[in-house]
This record gives sequence, C-alpha cells and structure tokens, in this order.
Amino acid sequence: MIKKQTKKVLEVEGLRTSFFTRKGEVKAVDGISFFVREGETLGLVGESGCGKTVTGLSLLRLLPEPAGRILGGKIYLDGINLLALSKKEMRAVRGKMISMILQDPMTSLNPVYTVGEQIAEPVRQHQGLRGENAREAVIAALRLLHIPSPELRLRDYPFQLSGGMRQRVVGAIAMSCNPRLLIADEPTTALDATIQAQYLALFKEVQKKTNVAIIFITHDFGVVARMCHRVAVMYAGKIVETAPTEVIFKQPRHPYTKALINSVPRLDRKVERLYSIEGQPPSLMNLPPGCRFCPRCPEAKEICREQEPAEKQVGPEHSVFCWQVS
Amino acid sequence: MTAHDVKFTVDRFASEESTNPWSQYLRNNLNYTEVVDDYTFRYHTNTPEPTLLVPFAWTRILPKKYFEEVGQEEFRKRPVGSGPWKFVEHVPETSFKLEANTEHWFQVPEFQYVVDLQVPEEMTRISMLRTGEVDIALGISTDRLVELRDKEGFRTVQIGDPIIWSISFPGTWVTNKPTGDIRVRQAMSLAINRQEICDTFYQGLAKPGGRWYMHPGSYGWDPSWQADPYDPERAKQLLEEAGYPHAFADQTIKYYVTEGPGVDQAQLLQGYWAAVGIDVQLEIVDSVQWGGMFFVRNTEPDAPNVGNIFPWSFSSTPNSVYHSANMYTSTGVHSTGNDQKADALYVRATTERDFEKARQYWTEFREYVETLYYNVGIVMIEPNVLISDKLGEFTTFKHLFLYDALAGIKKP
Amino acid sequence: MSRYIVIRILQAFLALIGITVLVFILVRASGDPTHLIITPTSTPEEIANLKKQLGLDKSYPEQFVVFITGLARGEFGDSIIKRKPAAEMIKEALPNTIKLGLPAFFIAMALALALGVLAAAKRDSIYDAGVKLVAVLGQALPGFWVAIMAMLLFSVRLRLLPVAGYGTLKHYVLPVGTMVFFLLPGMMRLVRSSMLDVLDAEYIKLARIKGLSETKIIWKHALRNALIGPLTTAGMIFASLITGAVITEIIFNWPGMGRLLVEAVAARDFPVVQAITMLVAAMVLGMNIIVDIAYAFVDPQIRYQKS
Repeated sequence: MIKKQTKKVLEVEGLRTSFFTRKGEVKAVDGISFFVREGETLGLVGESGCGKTVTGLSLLRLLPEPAGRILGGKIYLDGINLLALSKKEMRAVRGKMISMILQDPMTSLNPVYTVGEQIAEPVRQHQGLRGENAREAVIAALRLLHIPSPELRLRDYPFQLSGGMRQRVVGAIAMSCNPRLLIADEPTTALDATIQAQYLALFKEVQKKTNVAIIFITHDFGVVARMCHRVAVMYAGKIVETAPTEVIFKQPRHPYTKALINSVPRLDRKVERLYSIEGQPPSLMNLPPGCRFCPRCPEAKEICREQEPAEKQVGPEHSVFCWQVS
Repeated sequence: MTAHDVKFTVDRFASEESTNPWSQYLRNNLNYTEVVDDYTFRYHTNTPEPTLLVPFAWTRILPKKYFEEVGQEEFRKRPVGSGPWKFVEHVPETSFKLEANTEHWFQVPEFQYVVDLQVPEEMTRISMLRTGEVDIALGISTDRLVELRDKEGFRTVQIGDPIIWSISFPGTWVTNKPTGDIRVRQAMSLAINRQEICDTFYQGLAKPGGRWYMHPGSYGWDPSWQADPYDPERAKQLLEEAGYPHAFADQTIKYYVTEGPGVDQAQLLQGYWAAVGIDVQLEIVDSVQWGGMFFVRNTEPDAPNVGNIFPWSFSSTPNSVYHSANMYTSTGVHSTGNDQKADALYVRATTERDFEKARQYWTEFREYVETLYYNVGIVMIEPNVLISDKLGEFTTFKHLFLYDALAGIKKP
Repeated sequence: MSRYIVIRILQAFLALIGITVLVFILVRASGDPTHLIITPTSTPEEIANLKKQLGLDKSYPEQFVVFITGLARGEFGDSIIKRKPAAEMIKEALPNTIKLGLPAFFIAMALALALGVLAAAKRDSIYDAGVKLVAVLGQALPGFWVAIMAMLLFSVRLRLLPVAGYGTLKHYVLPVGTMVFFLLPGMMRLVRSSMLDVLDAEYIKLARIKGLSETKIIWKHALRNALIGPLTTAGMIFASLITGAVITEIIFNWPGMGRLLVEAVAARDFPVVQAITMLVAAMVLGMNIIVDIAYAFVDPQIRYQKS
C-alpha cells in the first residue's frame, strides 16, 4: 500500500510543544519530525496522552491559551513555515489549507445553527462566496460526504441528525474549502461499528477524489491497517518509529511498536489473552534521561537508561529510535 | 366668603357620609344649622358644648358655589380655599405647588410660589438643602440638625408646637402586672432623668414636661404645669413599698414600640428603669399591630395591651380636649381611663359655659388625672426645621400649620 | 409552538387566580388597616363604623365575592388610606417606575453582556480582574449606602447632578446609575461563567479550526449558546423591576411602584396591595412565557420539541 512518491504537503521538523501549568512544564510534544504527501494518509498512533492530539492542534496553532505554547521546530505546509505566519495569516490557513475533524460528532457541531450555516461559514470566510454560490458549495460538500438529499439536510439542526450523519457533516465542513491537509482526530471512536466502517470507506473515497493529505490520529491498529499508507508511532511526546503500514505490521522494530501490535485482537490469530504492556507511561513533567520507553521495555540495556536513542534508518521510509536496533 | 359657604361646609363635614375621622365632633352634638344673614352662621347644639370652638377652628371653609358647580371630583383636582396660598399643581406622592394669594385679607406671602416636595429619606432632604434644591428641610433628627446648624451654618426655625412624648398604661385596674400598682407607675416616672434626656439626647432642643394632649398650645395650658422631678431614691422607696417585683403574679412589663426613632427613646427609658431595678422588655412591632393594641379598647386582664406600656409622640394640637377624654376617662379607646371622678370632672369642665370657670374646672381635671398615672409625660421636643440663607425672618403664624408659617416668611 | 403558548397562558392564568386568593387571605391575616386610620380620639363606635364603610366588617368569603365581582368589572377597589381607586394610584406610579426601570434594565443588561463576554473571552486578564472586582463590590456593598454615597459625591460635593426629583436627563443619572449598579454584577457574573462554559465546548474548537475570527466565534457561536441561562434571570429581573427599586425610589424621591407597595403593605391598604401583587404576578408569569418563547428562538431544539 505504499503510495507513489508524490509531493510532500506537510513537513514537520523538531516540533516541540509544552503546556505550562502551575505544577510545571508538561512536554507534550518533544521534538518530532514527520511528513505527509499529497493523497497520502499518515497514521499517528499511540496510547492516550502520548501527544497525538497536541501534535494535530500544534499544526493548526490552536493550543489552549495561555498554557499551551509551541517552543520550537518548523511546520512547512507546501513549503511555507506556518510558525512564521502572523495570527491573521494563520487564520486564513485554518479551514482552508488545513482542516480537522474532532472526535465526538455529538459535541463538535454548534447546536443552535443549521448544518447549512455551519458548512457555509468557511466557504464564505475563505472563498468569499455569497448567497446562491455559497449554497452550491455547501451542497457540493454535503454530496462529497454522501449525505442524502443535501438540499433538505442543510436546513436541519444537528440534533435532528444521527451520530453518523453528524460526523459526515463535520467531514463536509472540513472538506468544504478543499484543503491540502486534513487532520482526523479519532473521528470514528464515537460511532458504532457498522457506521465506523462506512465512514472510513467514505474517507478513502474522498481522498481519492480530492487528493487531500490526511493525518489520521488513532490508537486503533485495525483502523490504521484499513486507512493509512504510513504510520508514525508516538510514545510520551516522541515519535519512536515511522514506517509504511505493511512494514509496521510485518516487521515492527521498536519494542513499543511490537507491544502495541501484539495487543491488537486479530481474527487470523488465536491468542489466549491479549498482550498488554506492563507499567505506565512516564510523567511528561518529569521525563527519564534516556529512552522514554526504557522503564517498561523488556529489551532495555544500560545505555537505554542513560542516553536518548538517535534516529536509525532501517529500511525504505522506515526509521526507528532505539538503541537495541542495529 | 359668606355664611352660606360656612353652612355648606359644616353641613357637608358633619354629614353621616363624611368618612373624615374629625367629622364626629361636628356631628355628635348637632341639632341644626342656619344662616342668619350673609355674615352670621348659627350652629345649634343639643347640649352645651363650649369646647366645640376647637373643631370649628379646624374646619376649612369650602366655596359653596364653585364646589356645587364643578362637583367633588373636579374640586379635588382644582381646589379653591380662603388661605394665603392658591393651589397650582399636585403630583401624587411627589409634590404640591402653591402660589401666593395676593388678595388674602391678612397675610400676602412675600414669596410667589411654594413647592412642597415629599421626600421620604432624611439624607436626601439634607442633601437637597445643601445643594440648594430646597430651602427648608423638615423632619431632621436632632443629631443631624445640630451638626448642620453648628458646622455648616444652616439656621433652625420652629414651626408649630412642640412634639410631645408620653407613655401610657392601659388596663391598670385589671392587670396583675406591676403597672397595676400606682406606686410602681409613679416610681417609673420618678426614675426618668428628663433634664438629662433634653440636654444630651436632644442636645438642648427639648424641655421636660407635657403629657397626653396637655402641653403648650393645648386648651387650658399653663406653663407652670411641670413634669415629675428626677428622684431615683424616692422611686426605689416606692418600689419597695409596692413589694416590686415579688408581690406581682406576672412581673413582665412590655414597652411596645414601632421601628424608628421610638426605639432609641425606648432604650433611654429602659436604662433609667433598670437603674432603679425595674425590668422592662422592648417589643418592636409593626405599626398596624401597634395600633390594634393601643387604639382599641380592650380591658380583658389577659389582653396584650393590658399592664404594658405604649409610648406616643405627637405634634401638639389645639384640639386637645377630645383627645383627653380618650386617655383619661372611662369612655376612651386607649383602655387607660377607669375612674368615675375623672369622668365627672371631664364632663364638668367641657360643659361649663363660663370661660373662667371652665378653665378652672379644666385645671382641676388635669390635676386630678395627673395623680392617677394613666399617662406619664416625658419631654417636649422643639419642632425645628432647617432653613437656608435664601429665606429671611419667619414673622407670623409660626405656631399654626406649615403653610400658614410659610406665608409669613420675609425675603432676606 | 402556538399550542404550547396557549397552554402556558392558561397555566399562568390559573396561577394568577391562586396567587390572588393567597394574597387576599394573607394580607388580611396580617393586620387591620383601620388601626392606622383611627385617631387618638376615635371611639369604638366610630371604629366599627369605619370598618363598615370600608367593607371590612364582612367575612372573608363575603369580602372575596365583593373583590371578585369588582375585578370582573375591571375594578381593583379604592385605596383605604388615600380613598381613591387603586388602579389610579398604579397608573400614576407605573410610568415613573418604567421611566427608571427600563433604561436601568437595558443599560445593565447591555453592560453585563459586554463586560461578561469580555471577561470570559480574555479570561484571567486585567479586564477579567476588573469585572470580578465590580461584581464583588456590587454584591457586597449595601445598596442604601451606595446610593447615598453617590448622592453625596456627585450632587453635594461635585455639584454635577441634582439630588432628587425629575424633569431633565440629569435627574436620571443617579437613580438609573444606582439601579444599574445593583443589577449589573449578578448578571455580569452569570454571563461570564456561562460564556466560559460554552467557550470550552468542542464546537467552539471546531469554529476556530474553520478559521473564523475570534469576534465571530464569541459573538455568534458562543454568545447565543451562553444566553440560555442568563435569559431566565434577565426575565425575572425584568419582572422584579416593577416593585424592586424601593431603595432607589426612596433615596432619590422617585414616586414609583416600589414605594407604593411598601407603603401599602405597611398600611395594610388591601386593595392597593392586591392590585400591585396581581400586577407583579401577571408580570412574572408573563415574563416566564416570554422567556420560554425567547428560548425557542435561541435554541432550535426547544423550538422543535415544543411544536
């Protein structure tokens, strides 16, 4: 499922994001680098609290103020460093160049405005469309997400729609301005299984039609297998392994990746019990000096405790951060 | 104005339809009225009642012709009278505006208009006086009055007669409380240092003396009438003689008062009484409840008024005779009077047609009821108002009513 | 929706009848107004006479029948103390109350909205601290004291404004200002906390993701959702304004409904008390219905549920 090498839409270099709380600095994202190509889906995988969502919000520069701050790194979108843009310029990027779908469709739509109005807003804001033209664009977005009789639906309020329909509306909002990059933050966790499958299929179709680059944030390797071309595994604010999806399932190299993949229930393998990782991720306020996974790692050696591992290229587009990988 | 106007007014005021509480005086003893000529009106009574002069003085004459022409409703909107001021405008609950009556027979005001504002809050009245929005402020408490007079240079003028503060003892002859014993009541009077109240609490703006409708300006008043002296030793002696408090089945004495300055007054008395060993409880009640106890004759031994104390502060009024009946005779509503001799002295004094004799009888009545201790006078407070520089001397009518006094103000 | 409104109006009408009966009984149980009218000279017969004239010698049920039949003719009865129709007294006082209450209400609500939103949008900033301070002061300082201090400062010391009375625009400044000072803090805090709740919502995050300006996010997406709680309170404040300005009316000598009611209650002026309470009750009930309708405008979900 390796995507043909197209243009890189997004390139992130050494991104560092922290939250400054009363108790101290929380290093939520601590120097990560990755890229996404046109028409490609990158899975951002990890346990909750590992920094996936913060990464997504950092790309939009929408961290909760004043606690959240981007401390360093570069975010290039089509070659432009987003961190160098003014607030106003950044606003023009949001919704137009980069969109995001939030986890819960029940709460991410404004209950007091119609679906049509909520889709029309970015259309008016970014494309300057008004009246009938804006309506056309809204209907087109609804059609793109396969929402039946869009002319009628746009007059509905969110509470009149099912959960699956609402998430499609959220998708329509995200796609309404034909963005370059779409960040999908666990968009299907709140949906039930059949709806989930439909939604994922729909997304693939949308991507094919629009060639949008997608960052798919999830903790579910099943979803990764179905959706992503490449995967970046995050642990405690760092990316520990990046690889094409097929490779990650067949040859996971990082002990954490291996553990994660082993913990996925699979139809083709019968296991007595699911593998689970002993221990807890480290506190992001008080990180160990060496490898962050080391306290839980079955393969840890002396060096793992003392020094942070450097990036190792282990295959085409496959890199890993681990002392024990040669 | 002719005798026809007077007859019209008296007939209307004395009629059964009149709901005015003062109408009774003209109604009770009325046989018939007649106009003898344009300037002679006659009122025929059933029995001799010389004190009727007082209610007549209180009756304002209405213009018969105008009233009958326009009717009561219109008259209320545009009243016409015979005083020194003409009605201009009335805004309910807010203000009266009057204009000088330039044709008045006796007193033509120097000022063209008087505007009477109804301002409920004392601090507002003071502020308005300070900013010059008003030139006279009424109803200012003693402390403020003295402060504004001494520190800010405002002048004070007395309008009307003193305010009399007295206390009454209902149902003394049926109660088993200490107030049923005249020695206890006398002791309570002797325990009060009236001069001290005048000097400190009223800062020299009051005098000891006065009692229920027997005060300066009242019928038969004689300045030689004095209040009880301050004699705490005698008071203690009397209490001992009376066996206070153990001789009484029910020892509680309540002093019923409504919210306001009366509470401060009550606390003063409470202190003097405590000093001679009398325990009095203050009961602060709503004015309607208070009225229900003090203005309704109830002499059942267990009635809430009986055996307790009721203060009353009032502006002195010339119409004092009938009020006296209510306090000192057994027909009164205050449940205080119950003495045949007092009743007889009252009737004798109020039916005597010879003026000198009547006055003598009235003095005898007063001297007698004083010994009964139904009512004990405390002090007479000066009726001071604050005035600004824009007003000159108050020349005439200072002891009558407000508007009469205002008619006599000179320009400075 | 209209069916729902009709039902609500019927309910309100029943409640009004209930309140009327209750007030009728309570005000009579609390004391006899003749005790304030009688003079130091009145005899027992005269008092009885007075009661008869005022119709107070009859039993409660009989008095109630008289009252109800009067109501049916649109009459509230005559004031016992002032001897004129209670309705006429209300007609005199109500415009004064409205002249004071309406500007105070709208200024206070507009300020509460602006400052509450500002404080929430700039949370923990200097504006927020200022708003919190005003809120604490407004709720902690006794109203009587504030009014008098304002009077002493602006009228007596600075001579900028008249102490009391009415006529010019200047006369409105102090009383309206004092009322705004009473009304503002509670509402402002409510708007602020309601806004803070809403600003945390996911749909606000999504609105930001869409690239909308902060102005649009706050005034369009957040405010409308944040209004639902404050709306009820605003409705109740509005209804309470009829008689709620007693302190302001007394201090600034403004002859409005608050003073009328307090004086009528103190004097047990039954017809006046009854007329005012019925008016207040009708106002509260009416405002409830209006607030409900306003809800439906603000929140489409309510609109659809009720239809």
